[in-house]
Amino acid sequence: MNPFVKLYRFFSAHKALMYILMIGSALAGAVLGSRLHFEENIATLLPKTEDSTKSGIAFSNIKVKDKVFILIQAKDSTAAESTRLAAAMDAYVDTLISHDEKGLIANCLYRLDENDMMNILWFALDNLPAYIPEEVYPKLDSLLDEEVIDKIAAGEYLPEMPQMGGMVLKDGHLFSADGTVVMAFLTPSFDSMDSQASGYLNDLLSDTRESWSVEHPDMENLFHGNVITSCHNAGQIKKDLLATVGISLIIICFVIALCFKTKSTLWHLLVPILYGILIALGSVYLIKGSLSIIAMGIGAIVMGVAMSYCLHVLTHYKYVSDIERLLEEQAKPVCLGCLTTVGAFAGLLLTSSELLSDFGIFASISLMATTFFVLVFLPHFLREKDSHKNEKAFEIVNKINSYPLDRNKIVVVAFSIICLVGVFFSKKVGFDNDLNNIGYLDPATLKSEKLYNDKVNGGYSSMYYVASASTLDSAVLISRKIVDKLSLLQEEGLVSSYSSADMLLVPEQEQEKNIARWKKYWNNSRIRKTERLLLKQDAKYAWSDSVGLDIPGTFTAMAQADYSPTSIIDAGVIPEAFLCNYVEVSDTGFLILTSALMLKNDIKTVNDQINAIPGAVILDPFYYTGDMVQIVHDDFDVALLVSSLFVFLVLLLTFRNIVTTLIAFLPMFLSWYVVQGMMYLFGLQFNLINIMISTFIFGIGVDYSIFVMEGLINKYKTGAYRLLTCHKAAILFSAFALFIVTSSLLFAVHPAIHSIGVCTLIGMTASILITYVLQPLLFRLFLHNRWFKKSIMK
Amino acid sequence: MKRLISFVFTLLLTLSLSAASQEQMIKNIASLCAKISETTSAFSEERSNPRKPKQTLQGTLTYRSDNYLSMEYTVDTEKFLIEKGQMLNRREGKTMKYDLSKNLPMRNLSNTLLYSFSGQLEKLSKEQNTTLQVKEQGDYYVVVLDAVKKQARGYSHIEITYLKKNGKLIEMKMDEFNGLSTLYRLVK
Repeated sequence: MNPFVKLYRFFSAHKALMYILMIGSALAGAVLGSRLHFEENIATLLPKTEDSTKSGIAFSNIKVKDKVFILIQAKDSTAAESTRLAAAMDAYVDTLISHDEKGLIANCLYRLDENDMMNILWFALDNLPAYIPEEVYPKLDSLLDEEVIDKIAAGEYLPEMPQMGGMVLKDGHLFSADGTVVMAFLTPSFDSMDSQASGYLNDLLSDTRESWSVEHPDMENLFHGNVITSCHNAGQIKKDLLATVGISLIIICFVIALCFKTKSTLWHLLVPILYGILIALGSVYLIKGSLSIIAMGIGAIVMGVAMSYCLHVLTHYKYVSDIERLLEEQAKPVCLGCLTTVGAFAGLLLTSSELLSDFGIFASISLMATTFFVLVFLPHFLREKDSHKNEKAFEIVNKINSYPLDRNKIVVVAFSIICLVGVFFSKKVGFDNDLNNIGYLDPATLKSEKLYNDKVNGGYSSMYYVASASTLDSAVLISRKIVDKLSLLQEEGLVSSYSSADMLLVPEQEQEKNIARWKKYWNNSRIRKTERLLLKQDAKYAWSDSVGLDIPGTFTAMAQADYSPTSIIDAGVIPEAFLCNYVEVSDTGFLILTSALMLKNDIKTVNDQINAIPGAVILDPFYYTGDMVQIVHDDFDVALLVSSLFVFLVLLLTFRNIVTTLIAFLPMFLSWYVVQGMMYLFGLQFNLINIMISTFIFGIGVDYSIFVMEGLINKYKTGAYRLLTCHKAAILFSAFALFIVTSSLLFAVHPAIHSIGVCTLIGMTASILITYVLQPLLFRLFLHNRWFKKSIMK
Repeated sequence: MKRLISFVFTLLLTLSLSAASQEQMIKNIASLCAKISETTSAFSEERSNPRKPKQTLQGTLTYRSDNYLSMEYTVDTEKFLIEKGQMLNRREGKTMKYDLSKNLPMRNLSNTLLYSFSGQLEKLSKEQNTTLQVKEQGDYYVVVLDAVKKQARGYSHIEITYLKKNGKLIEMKMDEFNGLSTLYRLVK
């Protein structure tokens, strides 16, 4: 007797036990699942390579990557006045900080006030000689000229100022070089992985903008940054899934309710899926503790497969109206379908990618749990009236299913050509390594990024490089190497400009040398000569009065003073909000940051050269993930092979016939080639996300082929069409449901979700057509073989 | 030999007595100043720059022990006020306000004045990195602070005169490394 029939009889006699088991396990899943941490960062889910580990140390510590860029410009850019823009920025940031009740903001650099300036001047007066390198002295000689000093005193000569990217300091605020955009840089206090805090910060920035806009209707406030992007990404995935899967579910439920006629059908359809999700969430919590939200999102789409099992059972019941017979006829194909689909997903567990294995675990467990519910618990809820159906609707379904597509020569030839073309072009489909292309940027963030890039970076791409070491002096040495390399690359035209704090971070020994050089340089005759020049110009232009500092006296004091090495970081004179753009101190040591501007096309070349410097890290997760995505792709080939072998073996053990197995295996095997070939012909590429969903295509392809094969064998053995008709009806409902879900994904805004829609739709269509056209055709053709006929009858 | 030993002994004794009296005088000044909760007097300020003619201003100075110091000049283009961690400095009509918790140079100036008025000489010496010498001159204690090393900014020499009877600061001279000097004189 079928074990599921035995179980049915057992639980019929022990209903209370069944309810305890069912409700208890669902509650346990819900409680454990509620403790699950959802991971939203794609980069953290990729496999760990040596490079990624190296970057991982730095990435987890570096705050600059989480910086939020706040920009304000006049709506009519020609009407921009720097004082008004500066005041608008003050109003925005002051409100932002005052409303930050959750302590989300570590600091915000939006103005350098008088205090900061005076502190820096104070530090410079005390320590400047220690920071002047040898190469500056020849330039200093050229400055000690009467004509030059005259110009300086008259305010006509502006010495070369240190680079601040494309920014200028105006009214104590940071402006774009053209003065039309005022900027602020906010450093969050939380880890960028904290998605909840990211969401709060995004809300705080948006809410502040709303109230600020009332007071500043002629101005525009924009902001962007990794924290904002990741927040929008997660938000958009949730929104897309809710909208697409939600609306699809409503349509599916409506159609199913219409065809199945019984109200309880919807509960019978949805409760097993919900049970599967709860058990999967609870299990993932026990196994891993965290789950990628992307994996779960895609896993939710895989629920379509789970729905397919429910539909098979419910549709079959409409035909047989007998629960034990239902289980006798459905348990084997449903279990086999589940086993092979889980096998297809479980192949992902062998990969080194956390994202793929997350998806594999979640999808496999939820499918098994749903199947268990469908075959063990669901039958107890089926009543006699549940076998009622909308005869008209089922008549139409049967009519469609009975059309012999496999005997239509045009269809067979056309589809065979499609398959051949697919196989031919399958190897040509590309794989997009760049995770940037599957990230979502909302229009406002995109505008903010573009404005910043245009105004500050001059259209160049900005890159950050990190010198990481346990001591500041070692980090400085690495930073110097980075700067030297960037300087060479600048000469070669690969780098437009760069900015580093290494001039301010001079090792103690070097400071001592610099001080000695200063002392030697300012001999008495040079001091006297310079004093004379300064006195003359000071008297002529009242120079000291204009700057509020006695220039000749201060010069003499500086030239004659005794200096000793000091640390600019320990002195605390540079505002933290400014310093954190260049230096970060972590538990593991010091990080010195260098920013550089370059053309997008040169990024890879420059990054490769910098990455070759020991201790240097490229502050771009996508630099390292490019390789990792390729590893995921390679992993996927392994997973595909393992899954295929597993499915093939299960089919072989079940059918015990190599030909039947090959025919049943065909949809999984062939649909993959059709998907690849069609994607190539439509100019589409695989990416990290949509490649995962291809396992879903295998799963559904194998399921359909198992049911059809069962029906075909049964038809041949008994001469009756009933089982094949039942299975085909269920397949049609399942295919309809999946078609609605996958088509709805085409309307998703998030590129990753959208790409799933295209890929799945092609794969689904191919699977169904192979099942409906090629499988019966091949089965019929092989029936001409006497051995095959005999083996089937066994 | 005996004479040499007796000379060294006398020298050491003198030095230790002198050190003891130094310490005592610093303590005296501190305890006398601590008794002053508020004082107001007329004052003059003499600003010297070797390259400019000397400038002398008059006004009223008020010091309170709760870190309050105001100098109201007879010329309304000048004013100086330290109050509740803030400093206001108006010179030749140009007013600057500073948050003393954020501004290192102005905090240094503010502390120099407040430590002097409150008699916290050791703190003053430490912050300015100076030597500290106190001597008695008739009715006065004269405190001299000399910078330990030559610097590009700050005070090279500070001389403060207190009245022995009540610890009131009556004269303070601040010489800067850049050659500028300021001399405050308060009416006894």
